[in-house]
Amino acid sequence: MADQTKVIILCSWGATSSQLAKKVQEAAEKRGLDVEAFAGGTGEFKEKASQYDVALLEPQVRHLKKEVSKVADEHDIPMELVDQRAFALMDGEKVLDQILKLKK
Amino acid sequence: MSRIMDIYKQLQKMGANGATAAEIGDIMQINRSTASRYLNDLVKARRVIKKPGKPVRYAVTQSAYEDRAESHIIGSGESLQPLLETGLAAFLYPVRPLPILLTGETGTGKSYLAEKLSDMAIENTKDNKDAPFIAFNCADYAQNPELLVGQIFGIKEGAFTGADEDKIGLVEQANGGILFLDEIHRLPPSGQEMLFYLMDKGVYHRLGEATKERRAEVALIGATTEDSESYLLSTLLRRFSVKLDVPPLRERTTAEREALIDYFLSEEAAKMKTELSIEETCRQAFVTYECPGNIGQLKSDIQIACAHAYLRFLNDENNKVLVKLEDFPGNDPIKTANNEQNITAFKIKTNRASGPSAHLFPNIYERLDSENKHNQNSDNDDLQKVVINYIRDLMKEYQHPSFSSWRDLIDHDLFQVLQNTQDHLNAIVPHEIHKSQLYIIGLHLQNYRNHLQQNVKKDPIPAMVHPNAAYRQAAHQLASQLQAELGMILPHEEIELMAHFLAPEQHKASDLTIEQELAVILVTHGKSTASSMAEVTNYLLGNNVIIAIDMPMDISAEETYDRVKETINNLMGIRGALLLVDIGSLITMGDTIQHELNVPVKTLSSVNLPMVMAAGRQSLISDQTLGGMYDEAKAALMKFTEKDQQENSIQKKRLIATVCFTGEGAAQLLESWLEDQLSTVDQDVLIRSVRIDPVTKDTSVLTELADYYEVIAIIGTVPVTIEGIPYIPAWELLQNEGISRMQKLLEITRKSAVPQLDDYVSGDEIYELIIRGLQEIITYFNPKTMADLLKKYMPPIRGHYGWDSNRELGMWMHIGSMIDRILAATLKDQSDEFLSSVPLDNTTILSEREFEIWNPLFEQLNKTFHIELADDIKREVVKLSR
Repeated sequence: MADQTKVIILCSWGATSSQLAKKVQEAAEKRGLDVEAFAGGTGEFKEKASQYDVALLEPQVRHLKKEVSKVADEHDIPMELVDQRAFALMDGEKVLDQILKLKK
Repeated sequence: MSRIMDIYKQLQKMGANGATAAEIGDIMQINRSTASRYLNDLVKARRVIKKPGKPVRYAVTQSAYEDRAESHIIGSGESLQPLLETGLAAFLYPVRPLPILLTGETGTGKSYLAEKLSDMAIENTKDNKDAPFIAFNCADYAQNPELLVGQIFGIKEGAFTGADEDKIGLVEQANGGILFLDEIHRLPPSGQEMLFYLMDKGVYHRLGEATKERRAEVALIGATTEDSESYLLSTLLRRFSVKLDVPPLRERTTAEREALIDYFLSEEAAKMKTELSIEETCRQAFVTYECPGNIGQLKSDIQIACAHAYLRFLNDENNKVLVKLEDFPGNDPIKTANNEQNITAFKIKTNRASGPSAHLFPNIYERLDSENKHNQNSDNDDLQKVVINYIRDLMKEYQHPSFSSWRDLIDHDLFQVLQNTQDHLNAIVPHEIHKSQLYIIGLHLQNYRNHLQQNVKKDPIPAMVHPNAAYRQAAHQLASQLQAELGMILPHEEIELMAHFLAPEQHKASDLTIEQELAVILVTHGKSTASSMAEVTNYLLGNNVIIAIDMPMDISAEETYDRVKETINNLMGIRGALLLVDIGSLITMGDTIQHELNVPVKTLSSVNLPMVMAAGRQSLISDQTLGGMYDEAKAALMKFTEKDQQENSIQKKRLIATVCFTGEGAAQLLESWLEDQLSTVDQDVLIRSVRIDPVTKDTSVLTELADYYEVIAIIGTVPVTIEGIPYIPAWELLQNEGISRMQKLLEITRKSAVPQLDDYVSGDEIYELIIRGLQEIITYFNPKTMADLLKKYMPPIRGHYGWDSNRELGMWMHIGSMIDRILAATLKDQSDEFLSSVPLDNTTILSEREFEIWNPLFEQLNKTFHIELADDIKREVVKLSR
């Protein structure tokens, strides 16, 4: 259990991110990885940041990256923008790869 | 080709009556059937008409008969008429033509006008039809003032390093004719003096030629942007007895603008070899949109729109090239009538008369066409790339959309007052107030005003009294003017602060060149490798720190050795020299020189640009040692070759410092402006505004920052000198060169050597991606329907907010997924639950413009999916877009 990865995918109010989180979850289960994917809005990230190991930001809220990365830095959580092509395709596998790479 | 023109000219001389093919044959000494063939070609080109009868007579067409240079100029009968008249009169002034100075904003067509004026003048002189017209843009050599002056006046062999033969100057080439110098303000003061002398006495010297006086009779036309007038010596400025201000596009009549649009469209049509039409809505957009880059921008925007339309045509979406509103690249969305039935399209007449040589840009369409033909199933992507690159090239010319907005930071009325007061203030203060100072004060006051409007409470700044009473008096004068005209009341301490702004900058840019105690000499094989690298570095560091010695193929190693030795020998009082070389014998040269000259010399081989940069920076640090400089430059080489990511963690973060007297005025404004300008690849750059005390000018904060960060530039309104860090004055960012300098600095300091090329996703790719992506997550509609709809309505929205592909793609997905949720909620009768799950924010207010760009999309969504988007939802989407 020590190796579980909790990832939060952030968008404006959790609409597209919940879909993407679902895809990532599926991909992780297929590979037998202990990953738990959450979705949320950037607004609530501040309070809950400490619960996660990795954060991803969706492209439509790219302009909030500075703000969000400040919070992520405080909690020492690696954060990146979701690869835009992977996002557009709702490609859970690719996004999972990105998460695993980021966690290293 | 020239034969046909000769015939045409001959025919022109013969007037309305014309001539027969036989007569032409006689005159031109060609046989009758050849003459007849040429004449018929001219008829086809509509330059010549056939007159019925036997034998058939040929005459130039009436309009072509009156085809004088003047009639080509759009606006010659309207806004430009007084200009052309005065200009021509100046040229034809008895004895010697009067020098003309053209002023006007970028892109108003100053060089075009200069050329046309010259054509007209040459046409009007009786004897000398072959008078030369030489045009030269001083900006081409702006980085090397010596070479610039040399280009114009000529160079004597040995005048400076690299001048290995006599060179004729432009003045000599233009003797007896016209010399046009564009961006004349780029001339260094010495060059301006030489020009002044030439205008006055008709004599000049080649560079490096002290004794020999040369004579030239040259009619001079200079051109400069309005801003730059202050860079001209007043003696030279006065010498231009005729000053013509070329009006910006916004001051020209609608009819003229329409004529320009038609002209540019017809130019494009001529390139395409296929029918080109434009929708009336799009044409209207071109007629009405704000076009700060003037005619130049109008032209490139039209080219961009045509390229988009042509791509659609190639993709077989249309059977002819039709420029639609969505192709319109401007920022301002247009009030579109929503009823699509009303769309009318105008067919463009091709403008073959202008000839292919008139096109500045390579004919993109032919390239595309042939690519398409040769490669039947040619990849759509390839074509796309060609067009996208082409569009990008065009965009570069006019940095739109965002960079021009910087000037708009200052309210118009505020700036107006400043400008009006300038003369008045100049009467009070001992130094002439520079225009850049006005911008600085403007920036400061703007920020003050903004804070006032937003009711931002801030601690009053301490009053700092300037020692010179004249500046304080001027500041009070300005303050009372501001109060009288704008009702703007400034507190005492703000007025005192303005005195500091009005005082001349403590050091002018030229004084910033620091005495170098360590020389950096760059020697490489090749004609100009070393000088190019040195040029870039010197430019970026704002100091001439690198000495370049080129080693062309035909120069022997011995000769190069002598030149390097000589160069080092001529440098006074240096503590040592670092040789940066590439390969071969150059590597060992330093040791021998060290013995011969008794100056410490170290050598680094396999030189690259980061090394030159590092060495240049280090050489500016006063207590640096040769060894230390050597180590730093070597480290730069390692950094570049080793792509080890581990090093990233110890690399300092990049930072740009903005400075002003308060740390809250211009510096803060600059900070937020810069943040907006940073591209995706530069998101890691931090920006800090720093206060520089007007009295002590203490820079210890900056030095401290430099310990923790990689400070790539200091930008601001107070010139500061921190060793090794380039300073960019704020007003320089008002000009393209300042911006490009900043961008270059960002570019070379980026951590990843390879820019993220795949960062860019084109509009059409978004379309393809989203269809597949939506397929994955939505249930209640056809993804393609949504993608088609968004493709149609998103461009003006994207344009308005200036989104990058990341955000656009994100928004497509967001809207798609949102509509799916709404449909789900509607079908399950859970609309209220859905609405309550959306974080509502009633503070978002749509601007009029936003309403205009979003409404068509919202209405189409409602219509297509039979829903009614709630106002709250709309607001949320708009808010997310900002």
